[in-house]
Amino acid sequence: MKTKYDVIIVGAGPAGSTSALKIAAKGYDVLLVDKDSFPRTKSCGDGLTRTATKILYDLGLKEELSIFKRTENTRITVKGKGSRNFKYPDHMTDPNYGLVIPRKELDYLLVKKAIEKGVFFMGDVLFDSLIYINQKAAGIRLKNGNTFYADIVIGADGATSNVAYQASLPITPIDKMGIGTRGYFKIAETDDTLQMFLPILDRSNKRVLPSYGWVFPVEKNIVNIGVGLIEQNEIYDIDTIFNMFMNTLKKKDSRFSNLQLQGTLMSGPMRFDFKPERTYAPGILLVGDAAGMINPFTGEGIGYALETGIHAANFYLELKKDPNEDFNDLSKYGDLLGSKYQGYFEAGTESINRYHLIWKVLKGTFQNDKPLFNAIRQATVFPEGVNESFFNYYTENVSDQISEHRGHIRSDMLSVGQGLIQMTREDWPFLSRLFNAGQITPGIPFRPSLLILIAGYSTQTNRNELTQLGMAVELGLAAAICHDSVSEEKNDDTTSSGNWGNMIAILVGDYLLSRSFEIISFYDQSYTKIISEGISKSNQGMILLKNKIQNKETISINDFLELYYLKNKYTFELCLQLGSMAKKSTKKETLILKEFGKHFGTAYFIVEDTLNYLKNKNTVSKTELNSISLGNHEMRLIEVLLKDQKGTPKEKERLSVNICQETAINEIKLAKKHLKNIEDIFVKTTLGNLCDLILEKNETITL
Amino acid sequence: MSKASSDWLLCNISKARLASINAIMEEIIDASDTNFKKLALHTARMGGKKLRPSLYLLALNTGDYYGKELLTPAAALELIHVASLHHDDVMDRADLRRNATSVNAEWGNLNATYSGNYLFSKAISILSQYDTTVNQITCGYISDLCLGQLKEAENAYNLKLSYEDHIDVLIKKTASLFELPCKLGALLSGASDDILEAITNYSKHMGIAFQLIDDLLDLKGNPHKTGKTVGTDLIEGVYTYATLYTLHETDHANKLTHLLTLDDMKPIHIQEAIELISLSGGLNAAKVKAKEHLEIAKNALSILPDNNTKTSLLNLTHFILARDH
Repeated sequence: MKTKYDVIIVGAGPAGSTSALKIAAKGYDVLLVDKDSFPRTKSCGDGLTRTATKILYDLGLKEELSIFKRTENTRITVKGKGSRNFKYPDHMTDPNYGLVIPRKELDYLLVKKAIEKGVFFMGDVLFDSLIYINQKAAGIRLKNGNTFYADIVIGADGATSNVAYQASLPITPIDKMGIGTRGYFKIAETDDTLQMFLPILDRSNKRVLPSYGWVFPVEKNIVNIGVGLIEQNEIYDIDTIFNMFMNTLKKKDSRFSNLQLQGTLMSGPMRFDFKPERTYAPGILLVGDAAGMINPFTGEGIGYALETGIHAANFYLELKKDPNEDFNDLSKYGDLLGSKYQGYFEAGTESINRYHLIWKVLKGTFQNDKPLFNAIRQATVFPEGVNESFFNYYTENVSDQISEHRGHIRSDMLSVGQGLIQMTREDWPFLSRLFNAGQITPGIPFRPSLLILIAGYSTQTNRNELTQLGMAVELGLAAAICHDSVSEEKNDDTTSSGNWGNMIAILVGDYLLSRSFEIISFYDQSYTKIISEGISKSNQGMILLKNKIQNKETISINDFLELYYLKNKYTFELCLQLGSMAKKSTKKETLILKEFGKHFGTAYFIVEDTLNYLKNKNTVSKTELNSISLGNHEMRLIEVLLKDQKGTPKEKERLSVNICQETAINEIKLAKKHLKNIEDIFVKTTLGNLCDLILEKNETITL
Repeated sequence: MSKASSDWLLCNISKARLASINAIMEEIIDASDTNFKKLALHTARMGGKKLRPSLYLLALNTGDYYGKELLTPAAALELIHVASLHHDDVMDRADLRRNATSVNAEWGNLNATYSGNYLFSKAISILSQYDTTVNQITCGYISDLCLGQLKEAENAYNLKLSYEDHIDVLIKKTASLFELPCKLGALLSGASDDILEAITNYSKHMGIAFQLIDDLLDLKGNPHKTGKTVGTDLIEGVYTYATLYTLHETDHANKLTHLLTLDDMKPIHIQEAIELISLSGGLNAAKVKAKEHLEIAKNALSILPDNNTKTSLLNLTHFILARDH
């Protein structure tokens, strides 16, 4: 029997098989061992996300998978809060759906595919221990005494990973792990919807158990029903929770009243203790469940198993290119997983309280469409559908408008985003998810921080300082989004005594704002002065404008603009001022840019708001994922005008839109007047281009 | 030994300076719109203990420099405190503040949120005009303050919260706004490094003790004096030192757990829970802990010269322990 391989993989679940076949496909020798022979069944929800489906298709399994149930909808139901449907955004390329595949079939298909690619598979053998040479894992010993050697050992052996244990990696004790139970049931008719129910409450309805239940359609008449519990506790075992869940289903939906269990219920441990630094050791990589890769809010794990399987394979293949590589220091693998997944998952026991908090917020704000809560909801229960959510504005790609410094600007904008993610990750990893979501624009996004770079570049400026200024401003803007999400309601809703929505909006907003000031305090204190004055003015502007609107006073365009300038001071105007200061421009030049920014920003927001209004006026369904993110929409010019116009609704709308368009054109005119006095050619041209972009957009507005 | 709000402050010069900070706060706020000014200053005009400005003014006496420009930070520090009250009242859904209508009750949650931001950033703006060190220290403590509040929320209903994590939250969310004034006062008046360290240490432990006592008042205070319903923390899942003591170290843990996890905690349950906490020695344990920190605070001051600044700071430790609202 062959005893030397390039890679040994312990565990032939989705993560292990995927790694194996990717590595074997490049011509390397792979040994894949598993304690079972295949096919075999597993406790799992069997639901595959769109990403998981895409990976399987890319592995060449599209045809084999065509017989399985496709799911296009995910319906999330929160106790006492109703349901919402989540769909993959239309712009996602094929496949635009997920699949439900029983693990018995999926795992068998993948193992067969691996064997086809040349992987040597041994089923029904038990892994015993690692063999070390020079303090590095260099092979494995099976219970039957056989030994095998390789460059690395990949631990794909699930939540109770023996490879991780043998490698002395800190692992969560089994009683602290999560647990899941599922069964297959016969039902009259299934649909194409994945149904999730969360969270399950304890009997007192007071404490949110970090748990969820699911009903996934497997075949025409078969559903997979199960529950998952993130944290086991003294009061409730998984069976009790499963029964509680089944009772709820039966009460709710007559289809479930006469369910017949097919086979037996099956339970399995789940770990939610992902930590980048415990996903590798000398000669060892962990993938899938063994690495703690499960979404704690929905229990989704197959997609992450496939992804980490591929990451580990690619990581090995890259190292293997160097003939002198000794596979001792594999820390880069941990870094890779860290940058990709932290924020989705985070470190075990100490993070459980954060999950509790997010659960409470999720529950309390389930039907709340303010931007912060849209973002939290998507990041937790439907991460793949994240598109715009946190930032309503600033998503346009303006690469074409920038002629010089393009490379610098692109990389500095990326640094701003990366910096935000890194910073928030340390204190509150969940927040970095929200920032991640805002990083999807390709090219150069039209964000306020971009204007810092445009106004700030010169041969002398410190680009790092510009990036930090950009981060500070972006943090302030994110804080404003949180604070705008505060509602006037005292409770999250009439049935709840909770106030989690307002609490989290304020706490997170304050935290982001304070971080913004902290970053900037390491630079010249004049920056702090400018930024703090900007924030105080824009908050003052919001109070004044809001109260004027509330008092139902008729507001002239000029009065509106005066308050609107004040309210928007913190965005483009402030950024141009900061950039200009960082460049050490003359006071006169900075002042001109400031004046420019005032009118430019106003035009930008009026155009965006009018477009958004027209785009969303017909979106009435609050249950659709892509419904509008409501911020402070009553402060938009279009809304203010609509209230004042006379005539039929159609006439009112036409008149109001016209006034908005005219006002935007006028503001750009004023902005351009100031632009004439700018000396720096790059600044002048680029800002001129951006003005024209706004004008173009303004012209596209049609009823 | 119950004393009136500022009886502990024996230093006359600080008293005189303290008297002028109301006027400075008024000046800081933009006056172009009377309604706005009324809203922004609503809470500040109610008065209050002004502990943070007092600490700052006393700390100013530890160095040998004083200039009129050093009075403004006292007002800024009070504004930071007031800003945090605007936000706290939205989160706590408080209709009353110092026995008058709170900003959120009168103008709404959003206005309270925005006005808090306004006051806070105005204060930062003022404190940024001294030097970079002052600016950095200010922003560092503010950041701790916000992180501490976030951590506290994370731990709501956490029956297993450790003392260590609890005290860490107190250091961040409360002690930071005691340390900041003392540090700034010492720094701006040019106090020596030893003094700076001593007074920072003093204020940190004072802050911890202050919050420990404050949390005790939630469990046994007189609602007419505190303006708050007894036991609010228990309903909202904020388990403070006394509660944690009963949960972690006594035979009453199970009974208390049962009460705390009740679906709908009625006043009678709250009363029962408080009796349990008291009976099992929780209230006493918290008071002992507070005394411990006050001792550390007092000892930290030993290197200060004997004068009425030091006496005032020492007095404050007694005042904190004895306060009933």
